[in-house]
Amino acid sequence: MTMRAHFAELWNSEDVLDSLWRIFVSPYTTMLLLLGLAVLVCLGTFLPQRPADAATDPMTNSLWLTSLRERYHSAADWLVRLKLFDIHHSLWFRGLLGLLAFNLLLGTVHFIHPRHLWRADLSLGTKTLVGRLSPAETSEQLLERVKEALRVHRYRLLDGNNGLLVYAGRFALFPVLVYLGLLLIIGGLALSERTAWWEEGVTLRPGQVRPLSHGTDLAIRAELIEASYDRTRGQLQDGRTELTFLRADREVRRKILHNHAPSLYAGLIFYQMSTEPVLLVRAQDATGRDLVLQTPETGATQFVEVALRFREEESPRYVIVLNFAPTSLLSRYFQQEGSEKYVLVPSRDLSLRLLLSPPPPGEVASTFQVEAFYGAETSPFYQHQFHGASSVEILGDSYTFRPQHYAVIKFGQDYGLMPILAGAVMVLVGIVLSAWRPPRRLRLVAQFVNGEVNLSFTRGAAAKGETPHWFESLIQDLAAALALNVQSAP
Amino acid sequence: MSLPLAETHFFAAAAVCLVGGAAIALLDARWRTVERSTKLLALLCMVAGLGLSAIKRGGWPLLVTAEVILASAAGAMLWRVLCRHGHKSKLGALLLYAIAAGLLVWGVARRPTPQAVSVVNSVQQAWLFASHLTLALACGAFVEAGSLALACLLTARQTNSQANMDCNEKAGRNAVLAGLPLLTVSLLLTALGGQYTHGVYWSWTVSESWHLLTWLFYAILWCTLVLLGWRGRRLWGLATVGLILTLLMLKAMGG
Repeated sequence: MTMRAHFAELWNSEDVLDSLWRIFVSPYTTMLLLLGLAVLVCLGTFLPQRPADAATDPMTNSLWLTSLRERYHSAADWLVRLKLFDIHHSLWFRGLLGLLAFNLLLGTVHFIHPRHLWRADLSLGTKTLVGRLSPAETSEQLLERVKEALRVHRYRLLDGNNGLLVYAGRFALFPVLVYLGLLLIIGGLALSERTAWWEEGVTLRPGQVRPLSHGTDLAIRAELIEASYDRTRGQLQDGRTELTFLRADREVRRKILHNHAPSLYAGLIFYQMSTEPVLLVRAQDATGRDLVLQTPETGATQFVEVALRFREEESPRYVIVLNFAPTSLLSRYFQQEGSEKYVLVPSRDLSLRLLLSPPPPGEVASTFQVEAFYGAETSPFYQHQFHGASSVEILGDSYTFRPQHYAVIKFGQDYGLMPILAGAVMVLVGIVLSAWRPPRRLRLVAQFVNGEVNLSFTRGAAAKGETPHWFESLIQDLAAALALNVQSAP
Repeated sequence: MSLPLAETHFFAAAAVCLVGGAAIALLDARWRTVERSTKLLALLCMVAGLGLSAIKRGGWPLLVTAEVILASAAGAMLWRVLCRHGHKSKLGALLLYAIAAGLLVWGVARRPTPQAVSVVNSVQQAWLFASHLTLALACGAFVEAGSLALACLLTARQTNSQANMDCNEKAGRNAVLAGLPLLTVSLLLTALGGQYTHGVYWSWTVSESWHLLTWLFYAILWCTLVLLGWRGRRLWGLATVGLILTLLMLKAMGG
């Protein structure tokens, strides 16, 4: 039967609600909805999709839409109108998921309490048991024995047509497990959408206290932040942070965070995304007075001590510093890699360039190199390398360098994770079980004429050709249990 | 992936076994044992090549896309060895050998990707290995089912041998029903791994999208097999489309 013919058969214009029920319960509808989702996912791989940062920042979004129009011209307007540039958050996608959830829910209800029993396809073949009704037994009693025999074989029974038809099914729970699992997944996704929150890019240096907010009275403090390097490759292997949880400035718990491994506390999930090397720089003149320091990133803000964060994966940036002081150059131009930083000493017209090198093979500590430049000169007049805390003298001033590590932490809450995981496991178990034991359906038509018994068994959703082994085996068992003979249909 | 000489020898031997097996498959039933032996030998050579590649790289196997493609070819041969019913179709065997050989050449010739192996943690490597292993086995099952389905489609008009087609259909059905749970496990492991390391279980990358797309398609196929009991041309057509999707998913894996 084609899909079109199937849906035409389900439609009864005299009872629209019943027709809608039949359509939404049908496995063909499930297939169509899954196909619709697949089409949207496929479109999402071919059409340009809005990046995550553009979704949260209006300016980035505007720039992205402009670049989209430059690339796709008039087609971009259609993409925007149909919301195809953000398919995974679009109404199309959510609508299909919602319809799928409705279909799965109705399918589950239909299993528990079917409104319409399936129709057997008689062209697939019927097995008949024939015999004579014993004088001591009525037809109702024989029918009850048949039902009991089917129950012994673990079939679930449903009566139809005032007891003259019996529908039996087995292993139908396994596909229902898949339905329930998918429902749990969709429910978990909806829960995540509504209730989940994450705070990312939270940086902590040793001793720093950071309130968590988001309705909690907790704060976190990093006690010790360490990074370990692979001796053979010189690559960052892992970072370790001792994190203290505080409530009203009192310590309530301590946890150890490692890079890319979660930690749980008070219903929150914490991730340490990375540990970044930081260099604390301080300068004092010969009298011990602190010198004012500046950095290109912070512009004109003056510091007594600066903290330089090094990120090796950062792409080069171009920084221009404007200096409006009289008799000074108007601007200085810097091209910064992630592994190099600049510190300016305005009172000395001095620039310091600090370079971070990962530990060489066999070593565990990173190497820093400091270079000093006069004014806008491009050649350094002073160079020095160091590993740990170090103090150097440049033009009579004392510069102190203290390496540390920052922890970059992400934390949040997502109640949808457990339903999604449970649903995925249920889907997996349901698929495995239904592949091992596909659903079996039988229809029994009982006829009693002049003491003659005629029990016709028809199977459902069967293949053309060879009769399944389970059907043959069941008929033989029933024939033996009921003392009847097997007669194949002509 | 730039392969040292030793792995290339194993993969070349596997390719020779595949070609030999394809030639023997055209002969009559007396050569079945020899064909079976060549299949096993091809499988062993591919597994040995993958193992040697991993040992020389100093990490777990199947961490790079090229190795997953090679493992899919091995998976297809493994399913053919395990599913004995499909042996009656010469065209099915030829198609499977051709696709497996194509995957073998593709995996060996694939250019090295910059990503290489970014995971340092051995636990992450083991997790990624498990995820890719189940994916490769699933792809192998779908290749087996697809090749049998394509053979049924091509030979349905030429022969009325219903018994042979029923045999192939049963083998293909079993392969699909075995491959879908493996694909589900692979998806689950990938999502769990992402949630554990980065706090994000799904990020809609091209690779993940194609992974999901293939799963949705085979979920539709599961509905037709288990709930509706579809047989014949409709099923063969779907299984053939599934084969194409599987190959596209492997292509998308590299980004």
